[in-house]
Amino acid sequence: MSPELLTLLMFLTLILCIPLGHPLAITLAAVAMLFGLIDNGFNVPALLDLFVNNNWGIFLNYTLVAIPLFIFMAQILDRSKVSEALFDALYRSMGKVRGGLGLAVIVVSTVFAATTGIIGASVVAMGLMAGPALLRRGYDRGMSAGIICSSGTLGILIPPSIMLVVYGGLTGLKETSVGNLFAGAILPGLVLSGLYLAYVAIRCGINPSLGPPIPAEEDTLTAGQKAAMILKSFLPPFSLILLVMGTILAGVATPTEAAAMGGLGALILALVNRMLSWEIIAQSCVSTLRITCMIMLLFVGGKLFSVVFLSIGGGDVVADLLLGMDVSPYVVLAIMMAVVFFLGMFIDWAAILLVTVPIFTPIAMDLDFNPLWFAMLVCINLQTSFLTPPFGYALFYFKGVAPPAYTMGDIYKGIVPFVAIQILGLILMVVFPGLITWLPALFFGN
Amino acid sequence: AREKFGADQRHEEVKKELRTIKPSKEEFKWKMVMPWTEGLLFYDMAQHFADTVALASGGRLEIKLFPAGSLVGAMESFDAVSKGSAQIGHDWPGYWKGKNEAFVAFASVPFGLDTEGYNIWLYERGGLKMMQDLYGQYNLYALPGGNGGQEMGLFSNKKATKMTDFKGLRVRTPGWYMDIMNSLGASVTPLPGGEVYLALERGVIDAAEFSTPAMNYPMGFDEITKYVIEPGVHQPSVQCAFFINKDAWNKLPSDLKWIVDTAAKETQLWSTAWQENLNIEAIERFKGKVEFVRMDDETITSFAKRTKEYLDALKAKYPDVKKVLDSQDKFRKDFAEWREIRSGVTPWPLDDYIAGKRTQ
Amino acid sequence: MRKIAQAIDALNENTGYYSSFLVLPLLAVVSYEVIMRYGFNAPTTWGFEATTFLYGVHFVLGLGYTHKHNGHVAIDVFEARLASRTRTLLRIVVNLLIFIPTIGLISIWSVIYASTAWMQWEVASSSWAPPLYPFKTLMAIGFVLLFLQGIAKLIQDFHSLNQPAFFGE
Ligand code: NA
Ligand code: NA
Repeated sequence: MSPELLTLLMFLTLILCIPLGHPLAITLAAVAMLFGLIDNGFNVPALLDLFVNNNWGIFLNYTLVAIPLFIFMAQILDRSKVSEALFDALYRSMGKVRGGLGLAVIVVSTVFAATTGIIGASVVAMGLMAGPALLRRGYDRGMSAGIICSSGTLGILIPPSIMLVVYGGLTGLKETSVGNLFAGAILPGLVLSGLYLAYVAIRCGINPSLGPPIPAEEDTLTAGQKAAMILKSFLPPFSLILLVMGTILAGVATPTEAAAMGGLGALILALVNRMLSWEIIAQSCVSTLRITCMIMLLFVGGKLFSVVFLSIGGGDVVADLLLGMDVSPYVVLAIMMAVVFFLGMFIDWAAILLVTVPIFTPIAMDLDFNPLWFAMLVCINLQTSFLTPPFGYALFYFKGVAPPAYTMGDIYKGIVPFVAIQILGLILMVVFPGLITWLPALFFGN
Repeated sequence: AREKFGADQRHEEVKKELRTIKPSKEEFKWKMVMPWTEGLLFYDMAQHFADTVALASGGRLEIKLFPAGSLVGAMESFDAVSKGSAQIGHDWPGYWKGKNEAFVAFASVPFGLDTEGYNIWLYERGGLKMMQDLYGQYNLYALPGGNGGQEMGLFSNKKATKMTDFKGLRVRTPGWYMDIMNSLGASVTPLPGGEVYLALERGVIDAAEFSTPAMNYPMGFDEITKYVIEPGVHQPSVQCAFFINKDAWNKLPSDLKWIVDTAAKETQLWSTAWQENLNIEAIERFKGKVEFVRMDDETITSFAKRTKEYLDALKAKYPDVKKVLDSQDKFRKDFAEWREIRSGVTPWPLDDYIAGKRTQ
Repeated sequence: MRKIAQAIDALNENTGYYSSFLVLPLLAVVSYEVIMRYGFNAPTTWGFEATTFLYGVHFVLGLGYTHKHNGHVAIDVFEARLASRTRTLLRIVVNLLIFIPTIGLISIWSVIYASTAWMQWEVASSSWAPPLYPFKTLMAIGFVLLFLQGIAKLIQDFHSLNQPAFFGE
């Protein structure tokens, strides 16, 4: 069979098998096995040796060590009630402004995005805390669902971020080392957060019924009290951000080491908040294991898929197709971005990264795109995968914990403007690449 | 008159083969794995070999390159070819130290063979046979796969020229030199190639060696270090290998086998010329960014002494290592006299020579 | 048969629970390495490799546990709309066609891979030179545990098909 036909059949089979409801990682491995055998003339030992060989490579991948450590840090932090204090302070201080509660949610989510990187945890926490509060204050249901889901997913982009660790572990390029990726993602993350804030402030400013201020009688604190509350609640997360990102950017620690420092920091924070118990540690360990294993098995399945895909010549087929078109490199870029966005509607970010990065990275380098810049565009794009129907995990997480008044229809409707903002953000990064490359150049000089 | 001295013995073997050999028609597609990514010049060595094979065979044997990570990870390429997941691999044999210590002897030995030495020892003194015996234990058929010449010393942020300077120095280097540095009080981190830059930049390590000047240039170590500590006693030359799955090799018809063998030799010849010529420009570019310093003679002597102790201990522990190193030592001893007699006339350049400067 | 499934469940529950605590020594080793390097200028020769081994063992022993708790992400939106019995049937078919052959073969070859390392007494190519065969063995055990969990799920699905009370669910 020709590589073109095999490539096409391989993707078609994958798309047909995904809705069967079996774990995605194993489906990827199964499709890889089927097509690997077709390609090598059903030489089972040769293919399986190759698979196990690759699994061993994942077992020894130092870059990925950061994954369980960052997840553990997030788990401890999640259980130490740091975000509750922060939300409470902002709630009391900003409630009086039109859309103020919504703005508070975005600020809290952004701060937490910079301390942890687990989407589920962020959306669930804000859904539980802010969902009922927003509803009680008469916020538009679509608007409030959109705010919580979109800002809750910033954690996957703003470092520390598991997605960036996975990306760095995939390419092995100097330009897309995890340190460079972390530095490169800071400004894009903040820009997106700023765009959300501006959108909410403007929409609610014009039409207060979308996000009404809280009644004056509830605003009992003096300005000084508010300032003290905010300062006090910001202190713990900021010290963690300083510890983790500070050590990476100052060049003291590798991202893996910074993850361990962050884990220690979170433990100390929980101790200070008198939230540290053996039970909390045990719960955190178990949740860490589950999330780590979920990502690592996806890494295994995705790796096997891309190994077979490249081995049957699929990479060349896609590259010839994209590079053979006599168009501007930016059209090719737009096509690659559209593919990532489209896949994001259906499948998980890790699977998308694992399947597309080995295929797209050589194409991007062929087109003379900066690999770091390209990586960041893919990651910003992938943040939307949590938000786009039909399978937007952030939407599901939110529906799972939000008050029943939120229907799936509210949530789908509410997310549309935020996905549009996300695309606007992506276009901004293409027009102003400095937003991505400036900070890494400043800190690492390349 | 005396009889002819040292006629090419291969000719008798070839005469027999020529009676039966026929151009084959069958076509083969091989996958080649390696510990390098496209960015490294080692990759070009592998590509050069694949190109020669494709051209010489008129496309009957096509070898597609899979850089590290695309089919298997860098350190998994040995097992992949051994088991037949790929048909051929390219390597620096020292990476397989954990399988058998003797692999390092075919890669680079501290104070060991230089490029000329490897070529004579491998092709004329039984080195190739020993190499094939060793790889053969793992279902592999091996051929010398390019020699990059002498490597650079350590890129370092600490100026270490005396023995005491090396105590506490945090170094990245692989192979036997790693153990030797360790025993001298340096602390050696076995970082993978891709992590070296970041580790040097952050001060996780003080010094690192990677390869020849040309190989090192794209790594950019000169941008983040102050000194290069010469000479590179750890690798007087860097020898690579091609290793082929035995079943895949046995399936090849004779004419393709000869083509593969010749292409490997052509790569061995070309790679040295190509590398050494590139080194001229690379060294020029390093100037002004890093200062080249030399270890003093006493220090080099101490390193040599420590190396001898280390290698003797290795030989006592591993019979495979003893066999190979003894053979290399025997050759070096035998060759030493002629090397001495002929020395001292290389005019680099002639004007300097006339002015009294003597180089090897 | 039910007993076998329960035994596998218990095995994975325990293995997962205890291996989840490996993240603590992992945290400790990485932190120790950072402290020794910056505090005492004395990095270890073993920290780097010990770190990757701990991480590897941690995730590989948890694969079966995570499968037991349905923690491996799946697109089950279509499947969720099917009637209960149809869904169970679909799960059985998919398990037999996708899971069993794929993870089964990977498990067998992981065992072969580990046994090759034993036969070669393979050690790492570093100064510390730790043996690799125990870790390759643990990797094989991890995949076998994942495979066993798939078998347990298969048994449970068959069992629930045969339950008269099934339609009452
Ligand atoms: Na984050
Ligand atoms: Na989606």
